[in-house]
Amino acid sequence: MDFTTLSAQLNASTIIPEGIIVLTILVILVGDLILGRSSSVQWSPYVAIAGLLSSVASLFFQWDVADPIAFLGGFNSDALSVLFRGIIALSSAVTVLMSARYVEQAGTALAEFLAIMLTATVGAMFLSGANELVMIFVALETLSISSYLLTGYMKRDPRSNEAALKYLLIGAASSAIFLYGSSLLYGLSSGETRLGAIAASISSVEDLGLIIALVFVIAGIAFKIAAVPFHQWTPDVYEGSPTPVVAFLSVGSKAAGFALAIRLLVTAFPLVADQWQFVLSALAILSMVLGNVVALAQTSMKRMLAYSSIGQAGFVMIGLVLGTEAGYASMLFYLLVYLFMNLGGFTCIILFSLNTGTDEISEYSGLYQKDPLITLALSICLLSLGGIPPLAGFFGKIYLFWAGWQAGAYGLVIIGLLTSVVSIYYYIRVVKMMVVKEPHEMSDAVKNYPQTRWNLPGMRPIQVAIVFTLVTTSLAGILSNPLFTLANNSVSRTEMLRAAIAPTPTETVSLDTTAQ
Amino acid sequence: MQLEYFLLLAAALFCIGIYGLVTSRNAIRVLMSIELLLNAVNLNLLAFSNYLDPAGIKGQVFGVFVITIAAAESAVGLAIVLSIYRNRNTVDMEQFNLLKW
Amino acid sequence: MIQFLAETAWLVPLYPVVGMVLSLPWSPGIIRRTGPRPAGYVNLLTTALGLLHGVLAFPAVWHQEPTYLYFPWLEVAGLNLTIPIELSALTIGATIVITGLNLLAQVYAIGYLEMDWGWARFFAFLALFEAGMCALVLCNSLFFSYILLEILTLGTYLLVGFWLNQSLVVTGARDAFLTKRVGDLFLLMGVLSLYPLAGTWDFSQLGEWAKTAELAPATATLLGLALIAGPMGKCAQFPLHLWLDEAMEGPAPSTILRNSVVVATGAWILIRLEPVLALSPVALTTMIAIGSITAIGGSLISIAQIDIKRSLSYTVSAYMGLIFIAVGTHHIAAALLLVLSHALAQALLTMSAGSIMLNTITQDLTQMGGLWSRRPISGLSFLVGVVGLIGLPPLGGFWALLKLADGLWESRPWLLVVLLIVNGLTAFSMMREFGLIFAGQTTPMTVRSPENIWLITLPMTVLMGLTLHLPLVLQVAGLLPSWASLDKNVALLLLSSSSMGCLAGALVYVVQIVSTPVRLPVPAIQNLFANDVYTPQLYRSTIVFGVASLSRLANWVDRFVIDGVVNLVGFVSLVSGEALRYSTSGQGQFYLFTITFASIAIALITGWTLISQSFPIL
Repeated sequence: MDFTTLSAQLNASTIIPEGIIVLTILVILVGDLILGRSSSVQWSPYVAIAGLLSSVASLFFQWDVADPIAFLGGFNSDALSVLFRGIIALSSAVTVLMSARYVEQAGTALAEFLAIMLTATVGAMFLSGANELVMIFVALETLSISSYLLTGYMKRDPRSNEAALKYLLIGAASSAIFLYGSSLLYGLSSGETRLGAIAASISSVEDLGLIIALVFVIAGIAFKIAAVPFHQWTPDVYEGSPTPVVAFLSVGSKAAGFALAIRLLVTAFPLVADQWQFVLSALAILSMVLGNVVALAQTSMKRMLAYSSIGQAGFVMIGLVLGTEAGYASMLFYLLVYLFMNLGGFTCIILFSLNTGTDEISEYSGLYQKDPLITLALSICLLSLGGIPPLAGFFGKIYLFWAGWQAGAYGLVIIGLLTSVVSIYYYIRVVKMMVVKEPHEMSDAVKNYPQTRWNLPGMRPIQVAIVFTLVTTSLAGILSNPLFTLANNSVSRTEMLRAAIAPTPTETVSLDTTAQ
Repeated sequence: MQLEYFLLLAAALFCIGIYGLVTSRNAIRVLMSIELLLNAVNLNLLAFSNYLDPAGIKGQVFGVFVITIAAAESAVGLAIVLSIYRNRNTVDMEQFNLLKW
Repeated sequence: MIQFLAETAWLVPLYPVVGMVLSLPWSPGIIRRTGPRPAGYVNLLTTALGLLHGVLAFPAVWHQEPTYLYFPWLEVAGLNLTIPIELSALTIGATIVITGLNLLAQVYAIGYLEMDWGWARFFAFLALFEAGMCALVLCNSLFFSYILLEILTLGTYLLVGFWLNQSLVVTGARDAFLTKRVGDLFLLMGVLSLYPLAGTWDFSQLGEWAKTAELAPATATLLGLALIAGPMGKCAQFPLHLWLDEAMEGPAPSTILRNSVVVATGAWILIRLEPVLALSPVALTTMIAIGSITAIGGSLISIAQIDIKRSLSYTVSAYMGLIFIAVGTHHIAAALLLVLSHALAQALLTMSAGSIMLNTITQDLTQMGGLWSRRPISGLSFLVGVVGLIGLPPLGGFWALLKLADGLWESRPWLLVVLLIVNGLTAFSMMREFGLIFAGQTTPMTVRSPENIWLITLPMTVLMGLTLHLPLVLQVAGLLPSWASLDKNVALLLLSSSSMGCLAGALVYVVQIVSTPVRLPVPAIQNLFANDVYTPQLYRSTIVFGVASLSRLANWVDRFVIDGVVNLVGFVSLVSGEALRYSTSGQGQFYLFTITFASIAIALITGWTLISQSFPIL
C-alpha cells in the first residue's frame, strides 16, 4: 500500500490546513537554528503569518468537501469545524502581529514563542474537528500544554511564573476531570470512542453514570471557556501572562472550547439534551452576571478584560443552549465579530504598555491628547464589545438575543440585556477616561508618553493589526451580510447539527418585506 | 474479579488525588496528585477495555496516550516549578498569591 | 428636476454625515494651523444643502401618496433586514424642520461658542444628531428606528458632556445616557417580541397588521408597555425624566435642538406605533396616565426652578406629556401639530434664554431683572415664544392645543381639564420667567447686558418670524382645524386658561415689581396702587403658596426618591462587584476546590431524581 492510496483511504486531505501550520513551525524552528536568534524578528513573524493565512486559504477549499469524515472517524471536517478552524487561525494570525514587538522588547526569544503559539493553534484547530475521544484528548492537551508554556514565557517575571503554575495546576486538574468523564463514557457505551457510536450505543437515560460523565465533561469544557464557577483562574492568568498570550487565550482558545462543546454535547449526549442545556443555561446566567458585575470593580485593564471575556462567554453560551439553527448561527457570528473587537482591544493595550509599561486603567486618562490612534481604536473596540450600534458587537448581540427570544429563552435574553447594560458602564468608563480629561488631569504615564516609533522592528505589524481590527469592527456591523451568510451556511451544511435541530414552526413566518 | 471493584478503586484513587490537590502545600505534591488523577483514569480505561471491549482494546490505546501526555504535562509542570523556585526561593503554594482580586 | 430631487430625498441624512466626516481633520491634534473654525463652516454648508434639498423636493411630494424605497441590507436564514424609506409630505416636511432648526442652531453656535476650542467636536456631534434625526423620520422600520434612537442616545451623551471638565456636566451626560438606555432596553425587548407576532417591522405594515391582529390581552399589554418605555425615556416622561433637567448643563446651541426636536423623536416613534399600541387598552391608559402625571408635575416643577434653562426643560417634559395624552387618545393629527408648534416655540424660547445667559454670566433667575430696555429683541422673542407655546391665538400653539382640546371634549372631558391646567400653569411659569428676567429693577448681574452679536440675534429673529408665520403656513397648507367645525366653548376655555395663567404670572412677577418703587403724592392714589399691590400679595399667600409648596414637594420626590432609586441600583451593582472580586482570593488551590465543589453540586442537582430513586431514604 503506497502513500497516496493510504492518504486517500484516510481522507487525509482534510487536514491540509493543519499540515501547513506544522510545516511553518518546522520552518521557523530550523530557520532560527540556522540564521541565529538575533535576526529572527526580521523574518519569523512574517513566515508565521504567511503560514496561518495560507492555512485559512486552504480551509476555503475544505468548505465544500463531499466526505468530511477523515482518519476512520477520528476527525470531522464539516462546515462547522472549518469555520471554527478559520476563526482560530485568523485569531492566531492577529496575535502573531501584535506579539512580535512585545516579545522582542521583553528580551526573550521570538522564534520559540511563535513555534509554541503555532503549536497551540494546531491543537485548537484539531480540537474543533476532533470526533473521537482519544483525538479530543490529544488535541486538548496539545492546546493546553502549549498555553501553559506561553503563559510562563516571561520566565524572569514572578507574576508570569505564578500565572503559569496556577494555569497548569487548574488546567491539568480540569483535563483529568474531563478525562475521567470520557473514560466513563467509554465504559457506558461498551467500548466505543467515536462520538457518534457512543450516542448510538448508550440506550438508557436513567443512568447516574451518564449524568456524572456529562457533568465531568462539562466541567472540562467550562474550564476552557471560563464559565462561572470554573472561571477563577481567568483573571489571575490573564493578569500575569504576556498580553499577546491573553489575546490568544481569550479568543482562539475559547473558540476551540466552544467548538468542542458543540460537537461533544450535540453528538455524544443527545439523550440528556435537556440536562446539559439546563446546566449550561445556569452557567451562562452566572457568567453574564458575575463576569459583568465584577468587571466594574477592576483597576487593571487586563483583569477587567478577563472578567469582560467571562461575561462575553456567557452571551455566547446563550446561542449554545438554544438548540436551534439560529442559535448556533448567532453564536458563530458573535465569535467572529468578538475575534475582531477583542483582538483590536488587546492590540491597543499592548501598544500602550509598550509605550508606557503599565496596564492600569487610571493611567489611560487623557490619552486622547497624546495618541489619537490608540484612543480611537480602543474606544471603538470597547464600545463594540459593549454593544453600541452601529458597531459589529451590536449586531452580534442583537442576533443572539433575537435567536434567544425566538426560541423562547426569555429569561436568558432578559438577563443578557440587563447585564449588557452593566457592561456598557465599565467599557465606557475607559473611553471616558481617555477622551474626557483636561490636559492637567493627565496621568503620569501619559504625560511622559513617547512618540510612537513605527520604524522599530515589529512595530509595523502592530499598526497593521490596529488598523485591520479597527476597520473590521466598525464596518463588520453595517456590512455584516457576508458574515451572517457564512455563519448560517456553516450551520445548515453541518450534518450533526441538522440532525440535532428540531424542526421549528416559528421559522415559517413570512419575513419578506420587499415583495410588495 | 468484577468490573465494579476496579471502578471503585479508580474512584477512590481519584478522590484521593482531588484531596491531595486541594490540601497539599508543596507544589511538587500537587503535581503528584495530578498524576494520581490521571492514573485513576488509566485504571478506569483498562478495566473497561478488558471487560467490555476485549476485541478492540481501544481503552488500552487510550491509556498509552494518557501516560504519554501525562509525562509531557509533568515535564512542563516541573519546569514551571523550577523557574518559580529560582525567582521566589519557595515552592509553598500559599506563597503564590501575587495575582489576586 | 424636482421629481429627481424628491426621489433622492433619502440623501438628506447623508449630507450631515459628510459634514461630520469632513470636520474630522479639525479635531485637536491633527490640524492646528487653521484653528477649528473651518469645521463649523463646512457643517453649516452641508446642513444648508440638506435643507435646500428637502425644501426643493417638498413640492413634488405634497398631496401625493407616500412612496416607499427599499435598500436590501441583510439576509440570513430567519431574518431579512431591508431598510425601508418612506418619502411623503410628512417625512420630508419633518426633515425640513430638523435641518432648518439645525441650520439656525449652527449659526447660533458660531456666535455662542466664539471662544471655545472644541468646534470640530461640537459641530460633528450636531451633525451626528441631525443625521440621526433625519434618518429616523425617513425610516419606515421599527428596527432601524431603534438603532437610530440608540445613536441619538450616544449623541446626547456626547453633546451633554461637551464641556467635560465640569463634574455636573459629566454626571449629567452619564445620567442622560443611562436613563435613555433603560428606556431603550425595554424598547428593544418590545421590538424583538413584536417581530415573531407581526412578521414585519415596517410601520406601514404594522398598521395593517394591527387592524386585524388578535392578541392575548396580556401579550398586547406587555408589548405595548415595552414599546412605550423607549419614547418615555426619549421624551423625558415620569419616571425617566430626570436626564433632561441634568442635560441642561450642555451648551445652549445643543439645548435648542434637544428641547425642540430631539425629545420629539420619542413622540415621533410613539405616533408611528400608535396602531400597535392601540391593541392594548392598558398600554393606552398607562400612556395617558404617564402623560398626565408628567404634564402636571412638569409644569409645577417648572415654576419652582430658579435656573433659566431648567425651568424651560420642565416645560418640555410637560408638553411631551400632552403629546402622550394625544397619542393615547388617538389624536394623531393634533399630536403632530403640537410637536411642530412646540418645536418652533421652544427653540425660540431656548435661543432667547441662551442669548440672555451668554452675556449675563448667570443662569440664576433670581439674580436677573430689568432687561427689557436693554434687550428688547431677546425680550420680544421670548414673548413670541411664550405666546407660540401656550394656547393664545393666533399663534401655532393655540391651534394645536385647540385641536387636541376639541377632541378631548367629546371623548374624555377630564383630560381636557388636565390640558387646561397644564396650559394655565405653563402660561404662569413662562410669564414668571419673563417677569424675572425682563421686568423689574436691574441687578448687578444685568447692568451690563447688551444685545449679542448678529450671529446670535439673527437666527433668533428668523425663528421669531417663523413662529409668527406658522399659522399662516399651516393655513396655506390646509392643516389648521377649520374654525366652523370647532367647539367655540372649548376655544373659550382654552383662551381663558391661558389668559388667567398669563395674568396671574404677570401680576405677581411683572406688575408688582414695577409698581413698588412708584411714589405718588396723593395718598388715595397711593392706596389704590397699594391695593393693586395687595392683589398680588393675596395671590402670593393663596394660589402661589399652594402651587409653590406642591412644586417643592414634587421637586423633593424627584430629587430624593426617584434619583435615589436610580443611584441605589448603580450603587448596589458597584458594591456587589467590589465584594465579589474578593472571591478570587489568589490561592490556586481554592480555585481547584471551587471547581470540585461546583462539579459535585451540578452533578447532585442534575442527577437528583436518579439519586433519590436509588436511595429512597433521601
